[in-house]
Amino acid sequence: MSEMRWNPTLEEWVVTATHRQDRTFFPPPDYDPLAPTKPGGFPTEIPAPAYEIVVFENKFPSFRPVPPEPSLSGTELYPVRPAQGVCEVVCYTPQQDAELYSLPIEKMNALVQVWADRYADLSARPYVDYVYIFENRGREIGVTLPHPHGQIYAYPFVPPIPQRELQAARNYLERTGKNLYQEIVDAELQDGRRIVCQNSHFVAIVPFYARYPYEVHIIALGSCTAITDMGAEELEALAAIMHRVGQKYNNLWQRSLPYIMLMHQRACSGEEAPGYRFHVEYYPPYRTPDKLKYLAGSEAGAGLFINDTHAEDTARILRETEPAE
Amino acid sequence: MRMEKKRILKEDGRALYYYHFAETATTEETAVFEAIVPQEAEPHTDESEENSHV
Repeated sequence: MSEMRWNPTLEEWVVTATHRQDRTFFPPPDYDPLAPTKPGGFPTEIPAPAYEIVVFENKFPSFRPVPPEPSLSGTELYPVRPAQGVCEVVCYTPQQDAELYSLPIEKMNALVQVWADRYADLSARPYVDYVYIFENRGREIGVTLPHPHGQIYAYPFVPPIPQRELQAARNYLERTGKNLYQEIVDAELQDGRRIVCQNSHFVAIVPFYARYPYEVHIIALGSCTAITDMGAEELEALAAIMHRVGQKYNNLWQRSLPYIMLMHQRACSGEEAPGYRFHVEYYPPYRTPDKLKYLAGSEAGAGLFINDTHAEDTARILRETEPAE
Repeated sequence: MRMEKKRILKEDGRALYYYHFAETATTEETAVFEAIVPQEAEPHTDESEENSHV
């Protein structure tokens, strides 16, 4: 049972999804629901005995194309709506114990193409206002299935953080006549201290305003505001820089680094996103090899992040970290 | 890379998409993909979804 409940104090929706309490939680290795279904084996989410990349609608979704009616009626103070949208699982590889960034670059190239295809499909649906591609990686993030995978949420509204970004970009453009993200790219390329790596179409930085010590943003150098704006060369460049950032993360402390990866893009309304730019963000929770950055009082309750590091220092560390093969 | 896609419906009605890349697929992966029978109806053209739009 899922539904959207309006929070009038923050003017935002909250989604309740009570059925998710019972979702699969660290099954034994021989009961991997994201593995192919082998002859004679137990049936997984994927009926075929082999696959390269597969995407399917989540069994425990927060949003559905045909949602159930809410559990209660809304009021003028507390509006309630059915949670219409789509939640998809993207299985990167059939190998349960694979490390994405140790696979050949062709896998990353394929994954980027799949993301673009899903964005095109989902953004065309009349009930979808925002397509959010993301990955939760590592038990520390709350992952319940270790098989390499990501997710896509197709929301019926633009969620708060992208909404603020899009509005901030519009405000900056109105105030200065300039594209905020182009200004950031120009400033970072000139300064250099916060650059992690770059290629012909993207730059990866620890942002000046990083909330997490090893936070990285990959910003498009061109004017694309969605992954579907990119041609073949740009998609390959995106795959290459994401692969490189992932390999650097894995070599930072010689282990697979937990993180949240997400893509911020324009909304699906068809309106232009003035002053905006496609970008990828990574939030690794570790601030040292064995210390986590927790979202405690200031972050969770006041929305103010306290970062124990300077972006210039962690960017230098990442820049000097060789990518792990 | 050239990408192909096939959509099926799982037993409970959920959509599933198989993606295939001929240049990098193994012989087994190619054979499995070619054997999949796609179900082409797109969910967002379903009348029930249109009527559910909030």
